[in-house]
Amino acid sequence: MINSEIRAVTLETTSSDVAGTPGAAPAIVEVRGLSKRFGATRALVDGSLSVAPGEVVALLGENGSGKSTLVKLLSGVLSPDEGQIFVAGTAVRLRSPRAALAAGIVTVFQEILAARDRLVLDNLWLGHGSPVLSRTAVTGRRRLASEAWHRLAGHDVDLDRPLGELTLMEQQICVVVRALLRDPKLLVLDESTSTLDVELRDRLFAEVRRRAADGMGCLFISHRMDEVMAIADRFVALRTGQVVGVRRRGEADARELIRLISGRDVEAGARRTGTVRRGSAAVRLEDVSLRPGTRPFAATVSRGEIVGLAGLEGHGQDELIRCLAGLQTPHSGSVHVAGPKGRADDDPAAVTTYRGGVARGVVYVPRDRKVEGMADVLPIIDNYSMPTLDRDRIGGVLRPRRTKTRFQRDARTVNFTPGRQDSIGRLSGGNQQKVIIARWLAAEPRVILLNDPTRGVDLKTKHELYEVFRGLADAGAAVVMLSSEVDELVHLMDRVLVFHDGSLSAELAGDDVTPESLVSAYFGRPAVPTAPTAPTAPTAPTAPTAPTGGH
Amino acid sequence: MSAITTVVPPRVRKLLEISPRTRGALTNGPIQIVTVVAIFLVGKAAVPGFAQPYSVKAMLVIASFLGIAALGQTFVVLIGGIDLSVPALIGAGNVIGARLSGEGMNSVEVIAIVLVIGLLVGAVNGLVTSVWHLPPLVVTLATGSVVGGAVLIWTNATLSGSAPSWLTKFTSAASSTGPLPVAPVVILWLALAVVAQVFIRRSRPGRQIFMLGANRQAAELMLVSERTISAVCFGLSGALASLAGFLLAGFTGAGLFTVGDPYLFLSIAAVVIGGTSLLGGRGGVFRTVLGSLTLVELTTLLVGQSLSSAAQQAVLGAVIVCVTALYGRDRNVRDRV
Repeated sequence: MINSEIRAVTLETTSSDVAGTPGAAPAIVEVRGLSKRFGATRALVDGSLSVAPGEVVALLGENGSGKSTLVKLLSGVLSPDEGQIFVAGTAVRLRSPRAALAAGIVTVFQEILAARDRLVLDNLWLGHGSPVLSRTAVTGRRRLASEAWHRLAGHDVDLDRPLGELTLMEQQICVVVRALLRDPKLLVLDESTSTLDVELRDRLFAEVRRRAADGMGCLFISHRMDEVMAIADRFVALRTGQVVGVRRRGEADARELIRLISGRDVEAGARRTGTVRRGSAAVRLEDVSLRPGTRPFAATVSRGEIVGLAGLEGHGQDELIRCLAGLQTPHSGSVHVAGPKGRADDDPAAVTTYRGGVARGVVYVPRDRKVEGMADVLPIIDNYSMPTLDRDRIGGVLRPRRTKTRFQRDARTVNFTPGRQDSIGRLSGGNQQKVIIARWLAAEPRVILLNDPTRGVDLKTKHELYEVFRGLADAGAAVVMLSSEVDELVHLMDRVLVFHDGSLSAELAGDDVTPESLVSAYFGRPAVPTAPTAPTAPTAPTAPTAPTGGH
Repeated sequence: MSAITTVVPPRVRKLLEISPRTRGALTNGPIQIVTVVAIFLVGKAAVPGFAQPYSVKAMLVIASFLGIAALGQTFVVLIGGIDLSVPALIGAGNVIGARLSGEGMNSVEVIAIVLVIGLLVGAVNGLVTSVWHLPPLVVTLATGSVVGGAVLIWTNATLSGSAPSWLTKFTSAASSTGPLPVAPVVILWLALAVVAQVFIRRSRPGRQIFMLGANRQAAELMLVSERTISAVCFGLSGALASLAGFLLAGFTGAGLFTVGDPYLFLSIAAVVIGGTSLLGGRGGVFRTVLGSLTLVELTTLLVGQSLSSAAQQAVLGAVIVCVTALYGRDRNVRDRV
């Protein structure tokens, strides 16, 4: 139900012509000639854009292209140096986030901005009304909140639990529902889908569509091309602070859009090396069951391969990667890691603690960079060197020069170019991730555990990270990577372990990894029998559903 | 700026460039130094004799007691904690030091006993807060209360003992250290600050202090042991507080538990005014040296204005709020998102 009549066609690539198409409904929000600079950096130059009632506009661009700046201008976090913002045809000045909310522009930011110690209910109504007088009575709030949650998520939530006890995905749902409860005229979703699994993401899209049919506009930002292609009516591409192109749905394919935002031709997907020379087993899971009552399973991960962990959020893949890292112990069974010489039979030992894991060469890149991955107020070099500082000591005294030398070498391996920036908090998400990975290269890892490492990372950097992961595997490491992105699983992984209901439900290898086989495995169904793609694949007819260990 | 970078050849540009470290020192260092100098000039103008050598020497001696205690507090604040047992340990160091010395015990042994007691109490603070995840505010207040109670029972809450004569000289504003015209205790303070600086910059636990303070969860995943580092920081704080108490005996002549009382507020204020964030992870040792100097100058200035002690307190509090607002603030949320 997209009423295309309502959709105004007000596309401006330059500032000169900004008038909307005559006769069309006025845009919910229109910005003209918006500029913002930070010191010598021009974050946004002459940005123009409009969103009509019922329209979903995707804002595309790499990190640093000016997307976040535009979003912050629209949500009243920053004020523009030049240019104007129009709401329903009237020029407004959004001096504060409150003013933007009052104008009907509701933004869901990339970071989950919520009070983790407060109840879900409180978080859903955070910032509503004054603390003393509220427009909605308490009982009404409870009902509205649970209805809105149910409509978006398809299940109920205990409104009286502290938000911090919920999963990352549920916290993300919370901030989205909070935005929806405000009945936005323009909903701005800035990377708000990065923690959602495919099922929820589709539900969110359906909700956005439903609201759009009632006249809401949506500005959608995501690094995932599949999502953008699925939801947007119009694409606005930004590069180095400037609008470089506007396309309507159907006018451009993913490849064209990527070319627009990156300024060059990039392959749309990740790369899987056709033949994998798999080495000896590096990790062996024996009779592991993750929760009481779930079916035990076995699996191995070998040196030289990249193995994906997938599934809908909360189906066990996250628990497994934490078990592998020694951060939690499986309900039963054990995780064995090969000894230093790299042969499985050579001194394999069970890993039960995180430190024990690191000592055996098991390193872990956590999911939430800000909370677990780094200290954003400290310099890059400290975030890099912390766990391996003893290497830089001579007679008990640290030698910063040694740290620096080491960092330059490992930074090259992960394709990170240290700039003048000193604090890790000021780097883009992708570069932060590179520093975190470089940190563990110094520990000579044999098993690298990556928990959704490309979340919130722009396309170009994503590709660089894929190259890094492949390089690490080629150098003999076993790479285990949890991913919530179907594209990534299909194109990068040598094998994918799919989890359902706390247990391994399918093991897909090579060209058997397709979007269709993945999604059906997500829901616990056996893979589609009709091989959907790649008839030339020389893979052996392994039963994908058999939860047997390795090969 | 951008014009320069395009025209100037790279080699020259590199020379012109300020390294991030230098830039950090410029933006963080001078304001504290400026404050110290500015208050000094105000004092010089407002209070007769304020800038006289004897007065300056006396201020430095007083600053060194505060400075040593605040140095310890700095370690705790850097890991995001707070040590409220400082006054009790200063009192304990003072009483124990004076009494044992009065009983004729060798000063080396006395110092060792005082340091070990401070270290142990501090280590207990560190372990209790990190193992059971209790708020340091409550834990250190409680251990301070235990220490205070024990000392009062031991001494019957009377003035007791006497400081050894060398200590009186060591802390006398009139004495000098070799060729230097300041009391040895001032040199000891600055030497401790240098050692502490080397420790936090050039040792593994020193760097780990910052990581633990900046992000506890991430620190754990970077193999930083919260228990060890907490025990070290609180232990150092305890040891330095009791050392400061012992040194104070030279100044006061005998042991009195309540000498520590003003240091609850002052030791924390010195850290904060120096520019170390109470949220942890940001700050340094030399800042606290400057913070201690600022505070002592301020109190001297207020005393010189012959304000009543109640009025002194009020003005001091107000000034601290202003100074903290000037540069002790945390970054705005807007700059962080």
